[in-house]
Amino acid sequence: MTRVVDHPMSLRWQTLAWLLLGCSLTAQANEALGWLERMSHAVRDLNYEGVFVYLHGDQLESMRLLHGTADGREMERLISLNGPPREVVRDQHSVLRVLPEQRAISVGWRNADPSYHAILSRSPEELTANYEFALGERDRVAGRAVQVVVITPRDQLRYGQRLFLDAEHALPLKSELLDSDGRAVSQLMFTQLRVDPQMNLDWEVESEAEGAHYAWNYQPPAQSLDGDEDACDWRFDGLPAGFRITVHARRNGTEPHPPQEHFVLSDGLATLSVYIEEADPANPLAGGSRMGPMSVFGRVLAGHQITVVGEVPEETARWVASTVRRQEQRGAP
Amino acid sequence: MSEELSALVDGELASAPSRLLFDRLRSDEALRARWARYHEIGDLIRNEAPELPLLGLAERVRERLQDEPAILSPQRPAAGLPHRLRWGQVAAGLALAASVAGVSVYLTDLQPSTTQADSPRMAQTPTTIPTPTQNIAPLMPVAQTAINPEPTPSLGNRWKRISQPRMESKLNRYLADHSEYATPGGMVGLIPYATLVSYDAGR
Repeated sequence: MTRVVDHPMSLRWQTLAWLLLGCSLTAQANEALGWLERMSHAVRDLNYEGVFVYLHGDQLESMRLLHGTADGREMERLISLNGPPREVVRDQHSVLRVLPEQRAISVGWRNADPSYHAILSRSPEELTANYEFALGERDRVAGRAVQVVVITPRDQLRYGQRLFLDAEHALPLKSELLDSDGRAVSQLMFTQLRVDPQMNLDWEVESEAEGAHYAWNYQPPAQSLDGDEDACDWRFDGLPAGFRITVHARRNGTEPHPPQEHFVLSDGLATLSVYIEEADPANPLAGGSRMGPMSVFGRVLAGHQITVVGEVPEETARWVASTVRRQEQRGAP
Repeated sequence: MSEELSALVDGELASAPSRLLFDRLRSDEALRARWARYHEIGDLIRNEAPELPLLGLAERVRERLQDEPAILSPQRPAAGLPHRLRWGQVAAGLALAASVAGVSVYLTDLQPSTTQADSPRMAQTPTTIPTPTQNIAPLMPVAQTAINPEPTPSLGNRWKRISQPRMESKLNRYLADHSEYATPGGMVGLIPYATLVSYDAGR
């Protein structure tokens, strides 16, 4: 009889303990997500200029970043500080890559859908289904106090991340991309950062080659096919948990390139692109590779080359490639 | 307008392209599509990419970034050896990696791994979702016949064996294109172009 009385008491305590633990975890996850939300606005809205180092594999790079607005438009300029001169200038609509040594400039369209670029566009429930979010320690980077936010994947199909966010502005002063063993796949750290809404930023692209000839390369915009199921000849069966199609676009074929289907898949943090085009029998792409945090995997299916590219572990690129299926031809008798 | 576009593409435009043309290009999808067909990145592969005299580059770049993003002004299509040579260099840069092997592209063992199937998360995956092993296994014969017919090949060499300029360009084009879709704030999305810019360093 005593047991009957005591047992519910014990259960109550256990329940309370779990509730407290659960609430605590949720509160911390919420706080971490709150920091990420602040970060997303800071990265987009603030005027800042700084120098950072970027380490991936055995490559160590130093770059200068300028970010701000010009005539109300968000602008960003990234300049390499070592090796051959390279820089990227982007605004909301276009990306310009300048290679002074090669006298080359290339331009591509950006995805203009602002909602796509909204950070953390997924609900907290969706995100926490695949990642744990937690607050880490307080630290110091580039002479500034930072709050560490730890993102831990719940499986081995995506990378984890440690973000060192400026305590005042929530700008990411350091980030580490981590594999399933906790090893850094890439690291990026500002050594100097200035945030000033009044700062005049220099958007002038280097023109030291004035008078020479620059070659221009223009990448045509892709035509969005979002929501047009009839336009889709392909489907994905059994994508890794949390991944879904966020962009579906097509580029018209132009000799010597066949038409290209492009799918972007995301779980809210990690992003993969799947490119599908007619295979070149002489040069099939079958297998995987990696470049810094980017993985690539190719396979040939039904006469088509399928290539997966994304900032995920190699296994994930391989998995996604293997889920691609050719749709039945619609309208066929 | 159409004549001006043709002249522009053919390099027969006597003066700088008109503002009106760029306005139309921006608003007229059909015209833009035509433009795109002419200047698809395949030009680079065919060594027929256009060139443009650099006159006031900085000013023009700034103007176009502000007013006419992604609309460019090509001139005469290049032809002949000198242009090919130059475009060989351009390709090396624009493609972001002149040599797949030379810019820290790590060749990987293509054998299906079973480790992830052991992960707790994988175990929670609904049964309707194929496991990686189920998916990947059929790929291997494709890879072997398509790429590396030799017996007991070193699977990690496949990318090297595909490292013809054309294939490299395609791969690098994908990588460049994908960077524009990386989720800001997501993995490598904070400064997605850092990875992109970095690719050129190993040239």
